[in-house]
Amino acid sequence: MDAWTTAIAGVTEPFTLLMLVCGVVVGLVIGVIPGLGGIFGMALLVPLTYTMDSYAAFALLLGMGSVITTSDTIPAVLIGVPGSIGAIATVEDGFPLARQNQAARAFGAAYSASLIGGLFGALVLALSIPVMRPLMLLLKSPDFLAISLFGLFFVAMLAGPQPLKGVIAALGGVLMSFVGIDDQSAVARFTFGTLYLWDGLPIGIVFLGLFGLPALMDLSRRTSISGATASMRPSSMLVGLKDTLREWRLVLQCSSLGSMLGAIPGIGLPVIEWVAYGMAKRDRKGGPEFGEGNIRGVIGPESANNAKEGGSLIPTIAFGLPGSATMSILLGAFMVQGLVPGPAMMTTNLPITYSLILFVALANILGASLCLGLTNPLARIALLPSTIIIPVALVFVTLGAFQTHASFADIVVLVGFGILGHFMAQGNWPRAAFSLGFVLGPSIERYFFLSYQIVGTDWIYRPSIQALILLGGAFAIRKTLAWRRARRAASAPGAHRISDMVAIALLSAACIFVIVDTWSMPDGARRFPTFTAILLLVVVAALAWQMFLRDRPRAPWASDATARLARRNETMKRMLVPVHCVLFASLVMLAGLVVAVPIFVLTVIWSRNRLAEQPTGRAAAVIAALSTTALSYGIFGWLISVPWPRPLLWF
Amino acid sequence: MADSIHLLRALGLAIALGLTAISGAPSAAETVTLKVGYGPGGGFDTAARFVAEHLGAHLPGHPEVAVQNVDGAGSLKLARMLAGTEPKDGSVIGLINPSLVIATVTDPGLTGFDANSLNWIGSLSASPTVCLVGKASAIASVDEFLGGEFLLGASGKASSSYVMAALVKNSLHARFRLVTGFKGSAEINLAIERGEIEGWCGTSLTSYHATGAERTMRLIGRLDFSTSGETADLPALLDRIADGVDRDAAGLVIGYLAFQLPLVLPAGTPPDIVDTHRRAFDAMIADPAFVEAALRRDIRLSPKNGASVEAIVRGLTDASPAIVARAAELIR
Repeated sequence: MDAWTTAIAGVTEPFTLLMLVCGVVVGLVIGVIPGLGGIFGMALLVPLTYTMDSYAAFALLLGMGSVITTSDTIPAVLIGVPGSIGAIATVEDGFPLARQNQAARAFGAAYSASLIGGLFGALVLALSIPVMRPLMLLLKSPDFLAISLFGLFFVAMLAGPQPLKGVIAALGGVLMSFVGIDDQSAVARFTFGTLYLWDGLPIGIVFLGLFGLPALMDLSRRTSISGATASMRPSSMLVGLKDTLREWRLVLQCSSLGSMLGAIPGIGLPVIEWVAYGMAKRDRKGGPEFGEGNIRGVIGPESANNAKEGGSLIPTIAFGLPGSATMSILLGAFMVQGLVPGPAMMTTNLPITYSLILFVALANILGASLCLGLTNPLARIALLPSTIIIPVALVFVTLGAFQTHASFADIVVLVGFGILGHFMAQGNWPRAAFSLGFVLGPSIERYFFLSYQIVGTDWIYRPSIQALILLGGAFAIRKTLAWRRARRAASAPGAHRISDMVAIALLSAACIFVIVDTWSMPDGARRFPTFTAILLLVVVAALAWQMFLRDRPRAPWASDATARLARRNETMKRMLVPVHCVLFASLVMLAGLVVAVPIFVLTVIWSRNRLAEQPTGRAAAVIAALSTTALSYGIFGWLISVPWPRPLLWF
Repeated sequence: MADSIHLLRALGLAIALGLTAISGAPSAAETVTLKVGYGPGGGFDTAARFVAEHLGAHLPGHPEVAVQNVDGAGSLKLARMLAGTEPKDGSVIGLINPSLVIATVTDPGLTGFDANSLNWIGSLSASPTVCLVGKASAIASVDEFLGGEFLLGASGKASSSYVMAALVKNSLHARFRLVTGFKGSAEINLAIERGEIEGWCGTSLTSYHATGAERTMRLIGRLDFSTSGETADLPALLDRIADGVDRDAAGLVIGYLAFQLPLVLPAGTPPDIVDTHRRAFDAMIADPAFVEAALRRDIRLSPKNGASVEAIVRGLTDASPAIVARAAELIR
């Protein structure tokens, strides 16, 4: 009890509370801006904590870290672009809700779910203090392998109407995750001679491209996000709150999941998000289809991602083992404060540990309250013309990606995955499955090799692995039966699309390339990519058989020339978004941030040639350009020291 | 037409604002950028930020020193930038991993830069590297360590945890097996605690104390040839190497441990600027305020000046082909 008293006294110091508020505000701002995340926030704030006492330092850092996944919902719901990787699943149903003029309801549900999730995570952390070390010591390498493989099972939940496409997307994600230097053999895999790819594809940019750009491409053919012109009803937010309370079982299930998986190193936020979404998707409870605005699709992921913070603190505190990249920076702050993670955090430094729990809880309450207060004004953004939203959002998406390495290669990855994400969405290739594969691929490879080196083939006899095999088998049989039933009930197969044929050909070629390219690599570097490529080739062949032989349609190709032409025109219009992205990045490199932003925003608005017809359009365009310039310069030019290339025009 | 005029005005205003902001930006003389070859957090970043707080006070004009993270390929990206494209006017300093110097010798095609072309300002630390086992382990002596069949943990094959363990195993014909793939020292320590592996090599004595590993780990021996200093009481594992070529090759492999956390200026920087920065570095490490701040932050200083680091680097890169070839074999 003494430790709690000391912790409460430390937490309630006025300066500590002020730092908590500052941290929460910074975290909310970072969450709103696509491309920025916890790592950015920690890098920004850790140097400021060097001269603070431990309580104030952790108030600032955890205040920031705890609420990013609360405010990242704002762009996810409003424009379909996730504010951080913690909101990629929220987009699925949050954005359709905004399109239906229900943004306020989505926010109400998301924030309340985040709040409960965050508090639940803090509670789990509090309860686990006495047992966290013995519990973590019980888990061996094969258990971590089992947990990582378990995450892949959720591909089945997210696969949609064509399960094979889900499996292919997941395996494609796994293959992409192998890019970079292989730790087993120190060999470069699929880096094509570039230094940039040595550390692998940057996960933040990959997800920003995969989910963010396609949303903006989709938006480019609408006049505004929400077609409605009526003002937001304040009562909508309350509806969202009530939704969360009604779905309390889902909230608790997903919060437990978030805090438990958060404690496992290597299981990132995207996995937690999609697994929670998969749990929510099991039952639509009379609401719309998932992907069309089912509120459970917002509540599930939002309660899980906020609960993760408490969970990922467990290995950090107990062993100095960071549960995430953000936690690894927080660990640096521990060292600076003279705190050594381990048993001392449960004994002599127990008040500090308790204070961390209080900070997570208080930050969640404060963050959710601030966001709830801002819900109605923010929801009005959905009524803004897309001609303003697209250039402004593109500025932040591009700069957010660009600040990762300050390299043009960041833009290439962003645009490449943007186009990939667009075609995946168009062709019903589930991006969620790709995400799971991409995040879990390295963990599965790493834990497999660790298990094999430590216990040989005995890893297969580990109870967790056997339980997983039984669970997976039962799950696969159940899902296969459900799919067969659904297929029988469905009408005759529709016409095939040329894009599917192209995708099958490209995937086959990619698999053959991987097999050939890895042929001369050492065993440790070759095994997993080759195995994945062969498996992928088999599943692609199965899909081709299914599409072109088993389900042979009367008209093998979508042959309506008019429809094809319309689709092509539509695609060309959408492709303007990645083109704009490249042009903006080029302009930044040519003329610098402060010049490039207003020119870009004004030119894009002007080129759309609609806004100028309205009397207020010019003022709105100039205000949008200037405020975007000020904000982007404030964040990327002044607040953080990004090593931008020198503008070519001025030097 | 009126719309176009308004838009042109807006563009003009934006350009004017931009140019004002650019012209108002600090010049190279007012700001020095300290680029660190790793992402935020971790030892390199923490050290860079610590140096940034102090170095400016000792440079002419007292410039502000700003830290930038240029993360990529274990700081090789930054090393290549420093060897090629970075400005040579003293406005950019780099902090890179010194093990790259060994890599330029053993695998010059891969690293693609010449370590001697860089201008070394000085280094902050030279903490001895050690091998350790869990306290629950039955291994208590060097003989048991070298003769026993057990598992040692390591990160990737390019990491110091692998390189140092491989050096011990190959040069002293030890019988332990290496398990690779752990993500950093905390994960290796955890695997030792849960009994999956027995120990590991390649951690610094500073980390051993700072991370509380002394509570659960036992020191077995050190990886240097020195006869004095804080590790003098520990058995020197590499002293058991009898063969002369192997001893020299081992010396080459561990050579970079003598200049940890090195600061460098880009290749081609004029000698007077290099001298200015070296003097500033020397003044900084002699400054009692700097030393006291380092103690407060638990940063154990063991600095070397620029000339000493340059001499060490030249000694390592001038190693004979036979020694280089043997060193490459020993860490395979």
